[in-house]
Amino acid sequence: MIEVHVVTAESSLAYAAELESYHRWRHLIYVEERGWTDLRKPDGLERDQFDTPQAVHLLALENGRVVGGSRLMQTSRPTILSEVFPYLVERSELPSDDETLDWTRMFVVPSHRGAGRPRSVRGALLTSVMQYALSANARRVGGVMEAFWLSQFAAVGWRMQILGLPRPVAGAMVLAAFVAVDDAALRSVRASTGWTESLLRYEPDRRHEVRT
Amino acid sequence: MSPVHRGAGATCIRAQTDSYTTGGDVGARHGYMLRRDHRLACTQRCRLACVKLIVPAIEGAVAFAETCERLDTQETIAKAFEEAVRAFGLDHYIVTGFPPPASPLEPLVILNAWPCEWYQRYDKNHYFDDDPVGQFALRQTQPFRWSDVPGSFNALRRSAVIMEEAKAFGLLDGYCIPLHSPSGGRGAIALAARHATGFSAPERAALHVLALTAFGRFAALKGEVAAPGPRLSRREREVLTWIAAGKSAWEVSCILSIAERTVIAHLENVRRRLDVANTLQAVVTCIRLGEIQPF
Repeated sequence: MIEVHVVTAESSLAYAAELESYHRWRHLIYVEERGWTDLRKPDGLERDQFDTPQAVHLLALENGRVVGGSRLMQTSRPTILSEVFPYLVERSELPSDDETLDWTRMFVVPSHRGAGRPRSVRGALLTSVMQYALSANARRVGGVMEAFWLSQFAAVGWRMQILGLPRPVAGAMVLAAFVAVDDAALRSVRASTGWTESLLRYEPDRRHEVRT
Repeated sequence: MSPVHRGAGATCIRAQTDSYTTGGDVGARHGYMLRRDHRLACTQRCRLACVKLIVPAIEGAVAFAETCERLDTQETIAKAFEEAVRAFGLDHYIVTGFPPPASPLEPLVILNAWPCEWYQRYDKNHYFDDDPVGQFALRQTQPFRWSDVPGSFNALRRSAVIMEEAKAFGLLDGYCIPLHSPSGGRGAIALAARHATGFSAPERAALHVLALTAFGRFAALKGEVAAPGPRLSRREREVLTWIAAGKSAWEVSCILSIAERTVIAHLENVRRRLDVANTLQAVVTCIRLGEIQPF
């Protein structure tokens, strides 16, 4: 049973254990697996200057255990795109408004990555990001991403905006892109991933023992 | 243009050169590059005046990506993809998954515009097993030009023969874009021309965007389909993902807080179930099947 919990500054205390697990997984996946050694931290928890009180963290939990996650924030504030990779934006203006959400640090823990089964953790996160963005009255969601995400967006039927062509960054092709947020996009990703019910939760379920 | 069919019994599209080798199209690719000043807000503190080159082939690729969600049949995707590829001056392409060793390519092919006789020869002889481009694509995640394939992949005599035969069939210079389908299976789009291509970095990046989004739309038609074959347990998938990321068994044992001998036992089980000789083969097989993925 997978739930995607929306964690904000207000609820961060209630989710303290899950958040620590989430940051630990971000470190394992981004530093150890992807090799982005610039992000290495001595305490093994990956947090950067964009993990501010305004950031929203989506935590995919299975029986209380973190199995995936993603971070969202408004582009009206500094983002990885605006501060680190503005050169990736060549074809339009750098997004900087409350209706465009910046989406970064998406991950699924290795044990729960699956070959094409419906109702996967990845599908749950894609569906939840779109559901959350719609509920937050956003019109676009995206940001700096590895190029392979374009085929995922195309597969779930999302309308894309390419803000610049991919460029090599740390051995991978990376670009700035956004997808349109609307009811059609939510219907499409739900049909594609098999997650047809709402997955978003806003408070922890303490029936499960919290494990890291 | 002859109709496009996919999968087993596919008919080939013969290269229709008359649709693109008109002077206007060649000129559009090489000569008519428009320049305009384009102001970008790079930071909140400064504005830079930038000069942007507009190349029709690049624009066509981006336009494909930005409108492809409307393409919902094999025919419409294939038609739009073909148009965008031709704008780059490319003669042939193939969109395909990767076959298991000693197996035909045919069941994995999604869209085929490879020279017919070459394709039939390639499929019948299971050339994929020794094709330097195919074997490199299996192990690569980023796009590459055929001339970029390391020498070690050309070492077998059969590999060199395959590349020579490809040239004889009109595939002189090419690009390969390795891809993940959403169902996790790996595949590639290979594109080729009869002449040297020499694409700029932006043109190669635009081809990458075109390939990624076209592959995604084809995958959307198939729906999420679990690849048949051996499945890993969650723990095995976890162990193999870390091994694929370059960790030793000892490092994996630290990451997972389990004994090193347990890690080794999991690897032995996986090798046995996949019926492969070593861990590297297990990793390659699992990548091909989509059992290990980047997310």
